[in-house]
Amino acid sequence: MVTKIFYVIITVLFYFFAKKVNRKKPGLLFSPIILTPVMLIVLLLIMDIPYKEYANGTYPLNELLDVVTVALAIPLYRNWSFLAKNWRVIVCSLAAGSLIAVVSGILCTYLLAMGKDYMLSIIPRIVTIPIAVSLSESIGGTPAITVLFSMLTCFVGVFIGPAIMKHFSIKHPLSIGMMYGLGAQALGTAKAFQIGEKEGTTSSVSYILTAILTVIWALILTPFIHTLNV
Amino acid sequence: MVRYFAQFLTILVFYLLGNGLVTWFSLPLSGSIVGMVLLFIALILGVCDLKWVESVAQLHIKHITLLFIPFAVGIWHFTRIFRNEGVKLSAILAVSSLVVLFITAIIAEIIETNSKRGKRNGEND
Repeated sequence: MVTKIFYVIITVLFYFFAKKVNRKKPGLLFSPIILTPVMLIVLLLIMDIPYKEYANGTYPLNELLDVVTVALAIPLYRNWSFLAKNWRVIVCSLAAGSLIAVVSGILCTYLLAMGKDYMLSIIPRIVTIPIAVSLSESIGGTPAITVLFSMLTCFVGVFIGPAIMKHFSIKHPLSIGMMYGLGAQALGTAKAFQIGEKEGTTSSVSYILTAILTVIWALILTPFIHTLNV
Repeated sequence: MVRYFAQFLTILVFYLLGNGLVTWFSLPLSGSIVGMVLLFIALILGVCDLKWVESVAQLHIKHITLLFIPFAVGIWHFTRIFRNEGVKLSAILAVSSLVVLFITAIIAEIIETNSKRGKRNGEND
């Protein structure tokens, strides 16, 4: 019990330390979402603690993430008229974006000849993790691979997001919110809220809608994959 | 502090309600999303006042990164398992994520600018 609390405490302490460092050294490499895990991994390696033990110990934080997701209803409520006014743009962009995500994932795994298992497991990667796992199971993928893909997708999305905004001058709150919500789900939403409340709310709506739309695309496209000879 | 705690309890109640509904009707959704919809409906109907939950939402937005850290540590663990496919995996993720983010953002920008132009020309309402 004591060691379990230890993992939560150490995670929180490292997080606040990373925040402090980030204030002095602004930049992607020193952001808490990179610095904290790196420090924790080093600590786990030095103390020879298996990941399973750390994961079990920090389980309360995962539970807390589920609980606070409910609080997203508040910015949703405050910005409802903004979202309702733009529902057409939101649905069209997300439908196109999620279709491209599914197709590009399938194409990449196909071109790299990684086999049907990877092909099916990559489909749900833009869906928020709890839903991605059940979608992966229902279309015949491997949930563990899907979880890895989903987590990495979130991180990649958060990293390339600012670059895309800068190089292609994406300025509208809707575009930014949808890009983060579709590309990096809950983690992207956290990032979008740092930019502004409109961006954040659009992002949170986007990742929920994306989950629904991707399920639809997946159900349409998987019969086709099963007929493929790979 | 007491206020945060009380607000957190309100959120927790909606989360538990969501979870209850999911298990009851065996819905293919997560309890947190159902809970969010319930809280949203409660806010619209005025059953729940915005003041009751507002501060905790601010706190959550400020520190949500903290809750993702165990996941980030998990990536390191999982990538060790899939080490053999590492290069291919990175290639896939980089390429497809870039395409997806780019296209989503661009489509939204195009639709937005078009509708603005439409409004200016008086074609739209």
